[in-house]
Amino acid sequence: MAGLTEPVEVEITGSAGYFVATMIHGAKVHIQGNAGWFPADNMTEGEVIIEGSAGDGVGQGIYGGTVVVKKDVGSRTGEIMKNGTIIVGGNSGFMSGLFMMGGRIIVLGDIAKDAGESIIRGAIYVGGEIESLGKNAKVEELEDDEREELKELLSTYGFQLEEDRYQKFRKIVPRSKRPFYGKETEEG
Amino acid sequence: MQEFTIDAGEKDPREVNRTLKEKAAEYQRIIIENPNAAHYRWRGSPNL
Repeated sequence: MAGLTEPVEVEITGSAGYFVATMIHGAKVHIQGNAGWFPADNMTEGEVIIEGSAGDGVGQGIYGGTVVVKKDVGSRTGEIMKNGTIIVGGNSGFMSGLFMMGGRIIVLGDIAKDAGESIIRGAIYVGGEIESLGKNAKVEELEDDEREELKELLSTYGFQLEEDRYQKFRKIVPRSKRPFYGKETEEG
Repeated sequence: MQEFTIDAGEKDPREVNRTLKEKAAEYQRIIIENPNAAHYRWRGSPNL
């Protein structure tokens, strides 16, 4: 079988190690415990829900689908992701969104230093504190329709936030779409 | 919904993955018991 490409539901009744549910296309994986490094790495379609915490590189390089971690995650969340959605119920570590090329990361808690390092496309929504920004990252306020979209999405995955927490959300976006070709100006 | 249960406790990851991919074509829901936080399980690569 060329990969787990069936639209099957997989229930894991404990914790998983490194690289759980990587490269899946269409499966729905529910992990009742924690996960190690790089869960859902390079997923193209499907859903991975982790009830506990996860290590570094959650959703690294995903092309689509949704990854949900109910508690905290390690560093480099969503590194080089191209599309899709990553939701972190707790805090996210160092260099979250590193070289992010699209999609969205939603962090309900705090995000550690160098957030959005060298981000090129996409957005990181943060409900808590932003320790510091990486190169090419800037912070913007949300539009009302973005807040409504967040509410709808988060409630789908069982996150019930009070209204004032939604008001605190900000997003980290790229300063330039061509950060590596510029000279003196942002747009190069 | 048709379910199949895999007890991963005594199996190595390759065997679990192989069984999962076989059964995924046949069942709509697969339960993996005793995962024991093993690495490289339930990934989509054809090589594992």
